[in-house]
Amino acid sequence: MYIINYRVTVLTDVVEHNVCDMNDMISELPEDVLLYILSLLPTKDAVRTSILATKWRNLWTCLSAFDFEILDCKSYDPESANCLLDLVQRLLHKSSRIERLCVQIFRTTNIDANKISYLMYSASKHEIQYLRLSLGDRSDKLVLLHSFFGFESLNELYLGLEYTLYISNGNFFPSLKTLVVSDENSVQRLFSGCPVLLELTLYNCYWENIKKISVAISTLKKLIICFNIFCVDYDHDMTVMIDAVNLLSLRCTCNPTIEFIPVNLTSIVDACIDLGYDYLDNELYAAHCAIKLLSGISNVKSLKLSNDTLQCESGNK
Amino acid sequence: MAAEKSSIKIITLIAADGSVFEVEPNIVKEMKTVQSYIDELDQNTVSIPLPNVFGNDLAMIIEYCKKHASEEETKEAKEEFDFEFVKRMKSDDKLRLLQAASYLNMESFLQFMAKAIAAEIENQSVEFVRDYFQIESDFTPEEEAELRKENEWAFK
Repeated sequence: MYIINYRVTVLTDVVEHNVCDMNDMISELPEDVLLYILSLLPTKDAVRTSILATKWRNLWTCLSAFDFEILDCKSYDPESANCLLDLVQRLLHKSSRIERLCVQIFRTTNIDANKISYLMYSASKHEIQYLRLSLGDRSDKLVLLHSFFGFESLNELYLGLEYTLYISNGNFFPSLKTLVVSDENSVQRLFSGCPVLLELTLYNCYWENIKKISVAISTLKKLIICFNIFCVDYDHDMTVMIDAVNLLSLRCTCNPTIEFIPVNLTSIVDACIDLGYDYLDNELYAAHCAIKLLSGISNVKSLKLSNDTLQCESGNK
Repeated sequence: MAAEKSSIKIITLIAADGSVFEVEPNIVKEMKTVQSYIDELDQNTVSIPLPNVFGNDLAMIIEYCKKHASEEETKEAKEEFDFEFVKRMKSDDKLRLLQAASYLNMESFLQFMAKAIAAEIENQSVEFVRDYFQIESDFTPEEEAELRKENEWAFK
């Protein structure tokens, strides 16, 4: 009986203690629980928690994944873009556990290129596995110097930069498996730094300044090439060499006067070829290009061709 | 004769308000705090005081655990249950259950409650979140203004 009475007393104490703590019980929780809640929120919401109270001020910087975006038409001004870059820069200084970082600022001109270079430099010091950068506007003809350093742990890279990157030769991406890139000037150099690349996507390619691209990557399993149909002019002789002995899948959407040179595509299993045919003035050349591409992938088990592609071929009388 | 741990048939949980719950061992498996207590003991019956969890909350947690430990229930039935479970809770309940889940060290229930709470504060203003969590700001107006400026992107 005595023991039971004793326990009841103790429990009453605890209850009173709990009742006192009813206010702000969230802040009493362990930091990893709070961080877990923050990790479920969009980055913007997580950053906003910085002003809840001092305890929360830097909590969001302990997260491991961040999505910074300016998509809104209202904020197409360089001021807010530069302000966001500063915010990301401060985060890169403070944090030591970033695994995933996306910075996307669309259709904003006059972004400070130095800030972008510096951001990339700082990012390279982290163990980032997933990096996505979409920045700049085509009307800005900026050059980023010394933009790439070693990204040891990077697994996926999405680059939609409207800048020219200067990349020297070197094994910058020793772990990179997936590369998605739209920038024509740096793309060739990027390949040589990716010794274990499995998937490559060249999207929204304008190819104004280069005539030849060579995708010679022996580890590559999947290749997607998607040209911007409106931006490659039809007199532009463009060649794309694809030398990938382990390639399993090829998807190609482009205009028919791009000459593909397929080499060693002996492993290929499926292909999807869509060569746009509209406004074509050199049918014979288009047919030559289409047939050259198709004969290079003759080992394929499954092939999807668009109607336009078939029309290209029939142009070869 | 020392009892095998598997011979434990019933576990008695005593909540902060003294209410008593008798449950089968598989129900408390997810409560790591309780489980480690049981593992240390060498007894047939176990009685465990949980001074940080109220009876009402413990009843809800046990209900959740029973549903999720059941092998007869389909995945869809469990999802339906989860949906209704959250729907009948007030924000206070969610916070208290989150706290209980943290104290009992229940990984999946903790994640479940955290998701429910995150869904409520997503896309909400700072004022709403402060109110929701009952946080009293300890910033001076100047400090707050400074932070708003620094993190301007998040406040647009």
